Amino acid sequence: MGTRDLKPDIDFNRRALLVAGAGGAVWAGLTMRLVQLQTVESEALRLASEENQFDLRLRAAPRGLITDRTGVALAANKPDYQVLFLPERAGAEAGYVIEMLRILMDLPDATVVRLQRGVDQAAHEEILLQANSWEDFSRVSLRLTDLPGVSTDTGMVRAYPYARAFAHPIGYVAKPSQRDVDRAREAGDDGHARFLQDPSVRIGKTGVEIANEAVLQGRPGRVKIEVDVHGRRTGRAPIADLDPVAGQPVILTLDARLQTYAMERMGTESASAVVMDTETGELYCLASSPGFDPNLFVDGIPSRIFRELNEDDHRPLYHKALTGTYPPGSTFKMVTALAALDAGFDPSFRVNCPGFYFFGGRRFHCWSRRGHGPMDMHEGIKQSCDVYFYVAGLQAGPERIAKFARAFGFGHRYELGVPGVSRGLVPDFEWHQRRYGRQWSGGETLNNSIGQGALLSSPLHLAVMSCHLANGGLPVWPKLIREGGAPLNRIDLPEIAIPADHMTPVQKGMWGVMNEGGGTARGSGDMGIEGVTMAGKTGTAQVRIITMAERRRGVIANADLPWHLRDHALFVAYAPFEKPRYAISVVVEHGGSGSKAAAPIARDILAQAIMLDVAGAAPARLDDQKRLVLPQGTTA
Amino acid sequence: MTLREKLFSLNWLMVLVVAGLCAFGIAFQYSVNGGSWVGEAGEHAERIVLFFVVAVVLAFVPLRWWRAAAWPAYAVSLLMLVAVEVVGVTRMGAQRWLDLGIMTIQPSEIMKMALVLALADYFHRAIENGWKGFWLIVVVPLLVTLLPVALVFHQPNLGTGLLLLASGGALIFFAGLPWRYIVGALAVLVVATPLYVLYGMHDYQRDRVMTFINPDYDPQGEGYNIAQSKIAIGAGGFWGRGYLEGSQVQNDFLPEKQTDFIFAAVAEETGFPGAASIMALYAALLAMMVSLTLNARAAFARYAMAGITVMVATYVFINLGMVMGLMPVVGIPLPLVSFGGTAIMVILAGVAFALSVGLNRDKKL
Repeated sequence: MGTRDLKPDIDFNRRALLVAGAGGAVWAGLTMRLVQLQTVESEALRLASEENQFDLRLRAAPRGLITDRTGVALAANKPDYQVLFLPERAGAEAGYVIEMLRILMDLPDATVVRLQRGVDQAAHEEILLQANSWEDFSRVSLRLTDLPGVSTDTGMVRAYPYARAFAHPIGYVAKPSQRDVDRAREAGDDGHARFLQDPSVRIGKTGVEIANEAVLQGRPGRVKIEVDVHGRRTGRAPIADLDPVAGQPVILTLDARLQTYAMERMGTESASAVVMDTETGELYCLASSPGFDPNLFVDGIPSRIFRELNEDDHRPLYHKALTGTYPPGSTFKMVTALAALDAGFDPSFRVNCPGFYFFGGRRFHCWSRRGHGPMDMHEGIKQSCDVYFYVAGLQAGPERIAKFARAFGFGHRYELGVPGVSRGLVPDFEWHQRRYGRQWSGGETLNNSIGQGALLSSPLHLAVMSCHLANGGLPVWPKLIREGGAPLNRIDLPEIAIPADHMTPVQKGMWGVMNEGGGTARGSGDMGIEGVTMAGKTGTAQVRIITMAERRRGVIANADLPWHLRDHALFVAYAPFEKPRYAISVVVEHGGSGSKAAAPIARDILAQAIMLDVAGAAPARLDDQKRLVLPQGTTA
Repeated sequence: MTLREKLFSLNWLMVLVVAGLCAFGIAFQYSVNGGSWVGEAGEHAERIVLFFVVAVVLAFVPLRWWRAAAWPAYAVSLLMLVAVEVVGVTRMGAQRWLDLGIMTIQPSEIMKMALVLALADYFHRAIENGWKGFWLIVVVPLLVTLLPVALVFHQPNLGTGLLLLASGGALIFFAGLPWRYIVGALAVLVVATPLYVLYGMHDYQRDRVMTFINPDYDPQGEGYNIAQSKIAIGAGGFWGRGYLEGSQVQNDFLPEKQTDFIFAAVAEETGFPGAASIMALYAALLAMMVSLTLNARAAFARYAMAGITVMVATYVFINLGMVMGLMPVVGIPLPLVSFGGTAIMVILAGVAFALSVGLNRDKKL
């Protein structure tokens, strides 16, 4: 048909039917699509709609308590009132919402700026505001329907009732860092990563809190909160999706009274005190001074305060009792003595001390410039004569000294259930070759004999050594966690059988230090308890090198030196001498001499431990459901 | 025929089908309004009931009156489209509305009906007078179509423009447009469409097309709209989540839920039974319209019915295709169910005309 004859009534019906048929096909196609969406794809789309409909809110389970040995709470939970703001959901009303929150909660300017920044970035993460009071919290709660993007929640927040006294061993919890989140994600645990991003979640950052995170944390619960597209909650009640499982308690070996006393006794010194049971190895006190308030970290520590803590030359954030390492100084002399006895050294043999000792063409000085005169082992320990131990050390030899040092607990990293435990260092031939690439020289033996040189030990090592000296050389493993907590690996210390006739003169020497005329800590010997005496040993660790020129001019007294150059004061002891129970080590950084700075503190803490009968107090325990049972038999 | 006979022979089934669609519309305007009549749901209900009654009354208007009104309606609509260019009200970035004081109307919507009637009259005359040849049968009607289409595209209103083009083009096709021209036109379309998309479109229109081709490219969040719509339909599942219980609808996740995406609301809350009922009602309405197209005696009635049927069908198909994620977002409502004024009026005018044709099936004019 040519265009010339084109007439509008020839093909109409055929074409109309054709179009109608095409329409029918389209209709069929649309119906199939509807069926596909509502059956095949329904499951996935239903999930997507639930993601829209519900705000899945993880709820941290109540964190397990951390208690002292008698069940006194050292880390507990208190209720807190949270207001949460999700900027991306506030939308166009963000400015109004922030202004309302500012008025209702009396927010400081810095917080307002933080909220505004969140809005500018359309942040996907909620910003947590801690309500100052229940009143502020309820004022916001009442107006939730007018405040898009805002929700409220009551949670539990970690609280440390003893604040600074237990900050070091217990540590603290804080908001997970981006690194924590990334690490969870790398481990393939997206659910945990999301949990960590929840603004109310806190995780252990240091101390017992971090090392026992899994036990303390429990399993978070989950609730579904219905929201509209603006993030406003609808009126419906939250739906519990998964019940939380509470964290389990951890009972420590520490005694709250003793630890608090030790902290008070150390005062403003940069110091540490470790008290251990001479038989069980339980730590009754693990204190570092100065302390800091761990509660500051829970809500995020203001950077100014953190900077102050971090830059303080007394290093309050540092767990000196476990992490700090010092040359043991004269406190090491008992180990040298026992090694010498093992090598056949006669304890009654007298060594003459003129104030120095010549060895290998060098002069090795005694701390007493005038010299001690003739010294046997008892006097050598009592008066801490360096020359006596140079001779004894040479008799023992460096390898034997190293072996005894290890048997007495030096050079091991103890797994206590807290991070940051130092290994210390016990030098021997092999180490020396590796470290310096040359052979051991005799002068180094002399230095080691009096606890100087490369030897390094933490206050914990010193306390373990004191235990061995007190119990006659039985191996003791320090223990911080009494019940609960993550499983720990125990390494066996190399055991050396020490004959009683070797141990007795050493113990008597230590008794003499405290109780006989001429003892270096004679002034601190009186514990003020009837029938109880103590044995101890002073030590001083040099921080600076004394040059020959200075020796000729006369060594500058500690009191005339700037604080950071003064010697560290060390002291180890145990009591009662008659029936040993408590071993102690005290280190006062830059405290000058061990006898003046450290010994009185150690004596007072030991006396306190005996008077409180720390070891005899009825302990708390966990029942088979891992619930805390207090000594009176009540369940917490 | 007496009025009584007319009342008796009125296509009551069609009235019932349309009433069913209107009822769905009223029920779901109430639902998307948060289960309240206050505001737009009430407004919609009042208006559609009024329009529905007027449509049934208009069914008794003789066909020659419709025919007599065709060209005046076309001329007035064209003038209003020009007026929109000059004094139109701009809403949502497009100049589409004309404020008449008592109501704002969209002249482009009225033009849909007017164009169909005018072309139907033209082809009626062509047959009556034995007009033939390419110029008279193709070119002149095409010009009649393209004049308003150009004005509507310029507003810009891509969706309505395409609908006008579709109904006008359909009538020319029914009139016998040779296949080789159709093939040629399709070829031109294939070449011209990308060029038009790239150089002739407004940014938001281009974004819509690009978003459809590549959902990741989504500067206006329209992929989001489609995604939420699909979620609503799928989340409803086969049996739906219950009337007033759809979380996508009630918690505002479904965008444009009163207008373009009302079908998703029906599908979420009443599932397949509800959604399929709407589709079945449309299928019934369209089938009855096709039957009228094929069986009416007067050429005017046949052509006008053909145009109205194509118009309603394109409305429905494009809307459903868009809501179910098969087409780009073009902003076309679901007739009678979506919230709207002029659009509902025009569709009900089409229904009135169909009823009128039904009563006057055998009239020659």
